[in-house]
Parts: sequence; C-alpha cells; structure tokens
Amino acid sequence: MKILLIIGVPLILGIITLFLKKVKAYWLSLIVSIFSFIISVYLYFSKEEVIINWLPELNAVLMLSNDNLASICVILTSFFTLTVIFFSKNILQKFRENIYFSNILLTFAVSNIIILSKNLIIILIFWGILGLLVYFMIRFITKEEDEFNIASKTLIILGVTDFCFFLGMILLITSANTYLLDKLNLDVKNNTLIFSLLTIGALGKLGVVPFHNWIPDTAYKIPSAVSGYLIGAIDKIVGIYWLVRVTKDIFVLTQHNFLMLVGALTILIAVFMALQQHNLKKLLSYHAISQIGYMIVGISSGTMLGIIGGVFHMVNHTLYKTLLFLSCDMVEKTTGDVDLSVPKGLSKFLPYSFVFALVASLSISGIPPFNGFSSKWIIYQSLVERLITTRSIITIFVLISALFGSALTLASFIKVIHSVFLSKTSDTDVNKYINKEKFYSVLPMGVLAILCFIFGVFAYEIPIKYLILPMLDYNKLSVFGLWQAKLAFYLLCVGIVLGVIVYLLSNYKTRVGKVYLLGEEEKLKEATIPATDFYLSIKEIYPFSLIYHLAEQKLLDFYNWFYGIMSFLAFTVKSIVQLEIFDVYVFGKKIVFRVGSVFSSLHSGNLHTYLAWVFISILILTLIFIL
Amino acid sequence: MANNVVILLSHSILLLGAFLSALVKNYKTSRLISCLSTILSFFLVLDLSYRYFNNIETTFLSLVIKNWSLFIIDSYAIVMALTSTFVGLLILFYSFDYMSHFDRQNQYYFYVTLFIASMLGLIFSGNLIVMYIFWEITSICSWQLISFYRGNLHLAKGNKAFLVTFLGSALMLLGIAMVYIEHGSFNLVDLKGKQISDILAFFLIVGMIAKSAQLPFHIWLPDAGVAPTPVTALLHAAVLVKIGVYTFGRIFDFTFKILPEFQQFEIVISVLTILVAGFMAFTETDIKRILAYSTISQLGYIFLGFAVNVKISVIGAIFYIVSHALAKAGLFLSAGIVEHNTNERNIHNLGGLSNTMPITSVCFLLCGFSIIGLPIFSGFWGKFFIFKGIIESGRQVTSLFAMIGSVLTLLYILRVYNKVFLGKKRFDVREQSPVMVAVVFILSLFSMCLGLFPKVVLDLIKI
Repeated sequence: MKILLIIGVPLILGIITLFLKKVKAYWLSLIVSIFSFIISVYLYFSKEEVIINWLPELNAVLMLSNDNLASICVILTSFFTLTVIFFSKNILQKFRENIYFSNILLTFAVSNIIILSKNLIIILIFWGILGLLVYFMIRFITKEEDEFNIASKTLIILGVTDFCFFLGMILLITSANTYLLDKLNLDVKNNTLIFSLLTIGALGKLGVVPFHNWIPDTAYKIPSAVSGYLIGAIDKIVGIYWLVRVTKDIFVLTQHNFLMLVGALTILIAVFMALQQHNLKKLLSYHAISQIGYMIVGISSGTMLGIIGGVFHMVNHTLYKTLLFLSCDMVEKTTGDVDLSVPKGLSKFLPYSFVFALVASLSISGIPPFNGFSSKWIIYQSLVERLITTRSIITIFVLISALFGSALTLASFIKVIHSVFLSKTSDTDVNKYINKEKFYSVLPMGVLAILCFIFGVFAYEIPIKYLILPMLDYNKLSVFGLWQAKLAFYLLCVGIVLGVIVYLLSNYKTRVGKVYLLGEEEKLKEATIPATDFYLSIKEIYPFSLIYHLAEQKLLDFYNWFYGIMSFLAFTVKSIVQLEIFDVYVFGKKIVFRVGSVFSSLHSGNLHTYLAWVFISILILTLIFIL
Repeated sequence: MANNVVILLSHSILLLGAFLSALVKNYKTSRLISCLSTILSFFLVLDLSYRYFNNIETTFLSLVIKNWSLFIIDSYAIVMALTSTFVGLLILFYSFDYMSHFDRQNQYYFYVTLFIASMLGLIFSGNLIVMYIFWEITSICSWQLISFYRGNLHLAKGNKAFLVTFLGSALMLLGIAMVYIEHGSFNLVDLKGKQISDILAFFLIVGMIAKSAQLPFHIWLPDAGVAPTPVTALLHAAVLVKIGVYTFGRIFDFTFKILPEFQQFEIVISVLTILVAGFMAFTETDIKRILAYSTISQLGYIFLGFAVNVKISVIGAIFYIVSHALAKAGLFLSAGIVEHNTNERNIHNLGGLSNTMPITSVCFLLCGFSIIGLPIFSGFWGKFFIFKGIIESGRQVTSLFAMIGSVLTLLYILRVYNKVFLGKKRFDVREQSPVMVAVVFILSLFSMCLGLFPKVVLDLIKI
C-alpha cells in the first residue's frame, strides 16, 4: 500500500498540477512531497511487494518491492523533492509554474517506479519516460520559444543512450531468460555487449563524458532549482542506482578498467571546462559532470570500498550540488543574472546564501571536515587498495586524476565565491538587487548545509552506518587507515580558535588613508581583475590551449560529432542511392528504350531489310530442321 | 449471418458506395455516400471481429466456387481490416475540408472508397488469384489518385508509381502461376505448410517489396507526395504500402515454408531498407518526402519482424502495422494542415508554427514519438516485440543495425519538428480547420492510448 501511495499520489497529482494555477500548484505539490517523504520513511521500516498485472502476457508486470537499496534511494528522492518544492515558492516570471511543479512530481513518481521495480520491462519503459520528462521540461518550461535546439539535443543524446539501454535490456532478458531484476551474477567477459549497452544507458542519464553535453545546456535553459533537482539529484540517484545494480547484482563484481578511465577523463575534462565558464549555471553543471567521475571511478574499481565510496559520494553530491543550484537560484532571483564576469558582492546582501554556498563549495572541493572529503577519501582508499594488489598504471592515472580534479574544483569555486559573494561592487548595483532571502528559501538550504557538515564530521557514525552499508547489504566497513573525521574536526576547531585569539590579541590596526595618484586619474576600479580572469593563464598553456580551442569550436561535443557523422553518412548514402544504376525506374526505362531502339532500327520500312530478315529466318529454320 | 456474408456485405457496401459516389454530381452527396458506406463497412468489420472472437459462426452459406475458397478469416485479417477501415474513415473525414475547394471531388471519393474496398477484399482473400485481382485494383486506384491534379508532373509521378508496382506484381503473378504448377492449388488453406523454392519465393516477394516500396523499388513512394495529402496519408499509412507487408506476412509466415537462405535474404533487404531510407529521410527538405522515406524505413521494421518469423516478432510486426498506420496518418495529416495553411512544403522555409498551431504541433510530436518508438507510445511495443524476436532468433548484429535505424528515426523526426514548428516564426497562420485538427488529434490520442493499453490490440492478435 505504501509503495502504491508513493508512486500513485505524485503521478496522479502531477498530472492534475498541470492544469492548476501558480499558488495552488505550489501548495498541492508541497503537500504531496511532504506526504511522500513521510511515506518513504515508513517504507524503509517495512518490506512490501505490490504486483499490478498490467500486461501479464508480456511479463510487463508492475512488480514493485523495496529492498534496502531501493528504500534508501526512495527516501533520497523524496527528500530532494520536498526540499526543492519547498524552496520554489517564488519562481522567475519567465517560467511556467504548472509545468515546473508537474514535471517535478512526475519525475519523482517515475524515478521511484524505476527504483522500486523488479521487472526489467517496467524499468525499461520508465527509463525512457524519464528522458522524455527532461525533454518536456526544457521544451515547455520557458514562455519564450527560443533555443529549441537544446531540448532536441538533450533528447537526441538521451535517445541514443536510451536505445542502447533498450537493446541491452532485451539482450539481458533473452540471455538470462528472466524478466526479474534479481541477483543474476552474469560474467562480464561472456556478456560484454549486454554490460556495455546497459552501462551506456546509465552513463547517458548521468551525463558522463562523452554524453555530457546535454547537461550544461539543459542547466542553462531551465530554472536553477530544477537543475539542482534533476541534474544534481534525481538523475544521479537513478543512474547510480542502476549502475550499482548492474555492477553488483546483474554482473559479478569486478574491476572495469575502461569505466575507470572514463570516470577519470570525466573528472578532468569537466573540471577544466568548468574552470573557464562565465555562467554560474553552466559552471555548476560542469562540476556536476566532474563529480560523477568520482562515483564511476569508485563503483568500477570493483572493490567493496570503492562501491561504498561511490554511493556515498552520490549521496553527498546530491546534497551539495542541490544546495549550490539553490544558491544559484537565489543569485539569479536577486540580481537577475548569473554572469560571473560581473562582480556581485552578495555576501552582505544574501548572508545565509553566502554561508550555505561556502559550505557547499568546500564540500564539493573535498575540503575536510565536509562530506565531499569523506567520500572522496574512501574512493582514494579503494584506489590505493586496488593499486597494492594490481600495480596497474591505469589505477595510478585514475588516482592522480581524482586528486588533481579535486584541486581544480577548489580553484573553480574560489572564483565563484569571489565573484558572487566577496567581490566589490558599486552601490548603484546593490540598490537594484531585490532581497529574496525568505524563510522558505533559507530553510531548505540550511538543512542541506547542515547535512553537508554532519555527513562529513560524522561520516562513519551516521550516513555510512545507517544509509550506505544497509543500501549495499554490507555489514561493516573494514579497511586500513580510516579518516578520523571527528578528530580532524576538533583539531580544525582548535586551530581556528587559536587563530581568532591571536588575531584579537595582536592589537592590529588598519590605517585608512588617501591614495596618492600623483595627478593621474583614479583607475583602481578598472584595474580590479574579474573572477573570470583568474585562470586565464591555464588557457594559454599547451595542451590546455588546444583543448579549450577545440571546446570553443564545439569540436569536443558528442552531439556535434554524432550529428556530423550521421549527416555525412546520410549524404554519402544519398549520393550512392541516387546513382542511375540504383534507380529501378530510370534504369529500367533506359533498358526498355535501348532494346526498343534496336528493334525499331530493324523495322526501317525498307524492302531489302525485310527480305534480308526473311532470308535469315528461312536459313535458321532450315538449320533447325536439318539438325 | 455467416462470417462470409458479413465480409461480402461490408465489401459490397463499399463497392456500391464507391460507384454511387462517382455517379452523383453533387460533391456533398458524393462524400456523404462515400463516408456512410465506409462507416457501415467499419461497423460490419467490428461485428465480424466480435463474431470471430466469440466463435459465433453459422455455416449456411459457403463461398467456395470451383474449389476456390474466396475468403479467409483470422485474427491477422481482422486486425488489418479494422485498422484500414478506421484510418481510412478518419482520412475521409479529413478530406471533407481539405478537398472542399477542388474539382472532380466525386472522382476522388470514388477512388478512395474503391481503394478501401479493394483493401478489404485483399485482406480477406483466401485465394491467390482473388488476392491478385484486388491487388491490381488498388494499383489502379493509387495511379489515379496520385495523378489526381492532372498536371504533367502529377501524371508522370502517377505513372511511375503504377509502372514500378506493376513490374513487381507482374513478377508476382508469375510466382502465383508457379505455385499452381508446383502445388496444384491457389487456396491459401491448401497451401499452408508447403515448402517453396527460392526462385518461386523470389518472384512472390518482388511484388510485395515493390508495393511496400522496399529497396530497390522504393523510388516511387517519395514521388507520390504530389498527390493530395489525404491520398498520401492513405497510401503511406493505411492502405497501399500495407498491402505489401500484409501479403508478405500472409504468404511467408502464415502459409508457405521458406528456405533459411531466403529468410536471410529477406532480413538483409529489410535492414538495408531501414538504414538507407532512414538516411535519405535525414537529408530531404520536403516535409512529405521526409515522411515518405520514413514510411519506407518503418515498413522495413515490419518486414524484418515477419522475416525473422519468431512468434513474438510476428506479433510485433502486426502490432507495428497498427501503430504505424495511426501515427503515420497523424504525421501526414499534420503535415497536410501545415501545407494547407502555409502553401509551403520545404522545411527550411517553415518555422515557429507551434505558437499559432499548438494542437497540430503537439499532435505531430506525439505521433512522431510513436514512430520513433519511445515508451508509452504504441510504436514502442511494436519495436520492442520485433527487437525481442530478432534477438531470440540469435541475430545480435541485425538488432544493432536495426537500432541505428531507430536512432535515425529520432534524428529526422526531431529535425522536421524543429524546423517546422519551432524557431523563427515565418507564417502568421491560424489552426484550421476544426475537422482536420480533430482527426489529427484523434490519431495522436490513439497512438498514445495504444501505448498505455497495448492489450487492446494484443488481444486481437492470436497466432
């Protein structure tokens, strides 16, 4: 019953919301999300199985049940739905509210069906629907009809990976001869095609390189809060959920070097791209891609520790990435844009958002004691563990990439914090700002920030113990050299307190005086370096200069490549097919006329020609009779 | 009443309607007669399906003339008949407004009704010769309908379609004669389970691939776009091209046994058609030609389903016939509304119509999703079963190529949608007429509902 409620209620009310006005849509969605969250928690403590005979002849039975992995994923989806809806009381004028709330509820319901379903056909169907919902969101959320290519681009990238998923699923169903998602323990070596196709499906949804380009474009188009929900949370939960199922349940757990490499490249490419972004939404979405790299690396390492690290990082990522997108939404609502090249200096104007964004930035950069560090540390440990046993050069590369990626993430967020919150801005600009920090926006952000902190400091006592280990059906985390989060936190506190004391005791005074310009005009303001220019030097170093150049030319875009190759093939096929020899009609006509003209020339009307024919015919007949 | 009588009655009513509509001078009366006869015929087919599935059969009249059993009734025929009459009926409704300002409307309604009548005749044919006769009547109707506007171009394209399909059907007739020589009967029931040689199968299949515009006989279908839009919808979606696939299924899946190498040949032709037509659709700029290539490509899937000849792939092929008929009719008729309102067919000259024609835009998108095979649309189930069949028969490479075809479908459908309905507004036209829009809406609704409730169709497919 609880399973039905958590799926049915948002599904039905999501459709109804489509026809409601703004305020009603908000309140209805909020009530549904609170209700769903409560039910999801209840669901965790009780195991249920619901079977709805939708198409029993085709084995497409809606068979829903909750094991620990599914239950906790449902709690996570419910929590983020509640957080984002609560936050979204006021959305920007240019967006359609009914589409906004309806899409969130429907996405929530569909992702829950995928997570709870034990039937592979049902997963396949709703997997496709999830992609369609993203398309509909991008296509219909804005009131203006522009930039339609983004919606199509998204659908094409997701469509390509979903078709791979489709084929992989049918191959799986046929090869394993079952429709049930169970512990199948298939061997990867003998079923490489199935594994690859199923993984591509998950990678597309997650937005891993090379299927990543839809994510920045989508984030740019849709409201930041929804980006946080879709890109930051739901797609990651569903994608990682499925990847865990594939690597752990459907196939025998093993190391996947190629996947690890993909993960490492995702970390590096996305973080380099993020470093040079001028648009906050795009920057955040590139970081969302980069962080998936860590999860992929963890899960594909094939160790228990790696999977724990990957899944824990997924949970942490959903927390800080949603928080970052919500902060971005606040910035956009307040200032009207998210351009990082314009200094905003919002730290005094949006104090709460500043603190929360700082917490999220430190978390994503992997700074202790916040949650990002805890999960990254476990992933590093898994890689080191793997390195001790295999001594593989790939693992070394992956480990270095992960560490390097983390450092670059920090660099990128220094830029964000500086530009958005700490930079100096003129009073006239500040006067234009509209204060949007209300209770309903601060509370969800605060909760997320606190969770980022708790999941970092008490990583082993709370999230790993109560969420991650039960999710993966592991009993305990046994590993060398665990990160002592609490001890480190206490030491950090001591350090900060000492620093404050030293500062207070130092009796340091700042002298404010006039600047002497020796008769020249004051150009100090113009001389200030905008945050977007912080890392321009990286852009000039080879080979980064080449990579950035290619990226600017859109030559690293999978979509462009794919579209280009398909267009090339299409025009090649067209030029071949249009050859006369392949045109039955033209070719046939030509033959008929050629043969006709031969006979026609023989019927010239001259008596001697006909006499010659009669003579030849008599000769042939005589020969036939004689022989 | 015996089932045979119902078939005969539904067919006769249509024939009568066709000839009456030709005789009447008043266009309104003509279309009324045509429409009424199609409605009646549709209900008779419905009644027939009810009788068939509830085993209500009284055999007081047996239609066997000189050992020729005229009719055959099975679930395959019933599904096809229901689809053809239903989609045909909707296209007739659409024609009311679309054709209202053209001359010779009585001729139009005559040929369309005759077209549907001969389709019904062909579907229920239990005999190869009877099948061939109806086959050729449809060729004549399509010939006349394609060249309906009577311009030089229209006449040339009509002739092309007629000649290419006739080339195929002439070879098929040769095949039918060889069947009689080898097995001594034209009756499908008597021929069931008989093994046929490759050369005979080849002659038979040429007719079918020519009719369904498969490679290398695909050339006539894109050119047939010069016909009025309801006619192209009728040709592409419901009647003409479906004759080829229907007969293919009837002869190679439900009647004869073929050799494995010939089966492989069929599969190769289908996959090539899917890919080549998909690529061609991707390069075209004329909206009707794109949809025509799309039809060729999608028919490749139906052929593939039948060619693989595993139970689930055959179910998939039949299911996809229904899905494709509904969705493709929806796409063509939406394109027809666009053409009717803007007088433009080049997608590069169109744009921004979703603002002024929102219902048509959404319907086009929904029908497009069904053709692509996205979940919750009926096309998904058709393709799912076909792919399942391909994989069950152990042809993984074929499935990979077929999947590329699906990706191509996604590309060209979205390309058309983006160019025509999104982007910069180039025409300030309103959505009209209500009847035309309503027909398109019904078709897209059905495309979606059959995806949600595929059981409705699956229950009818009993093989």
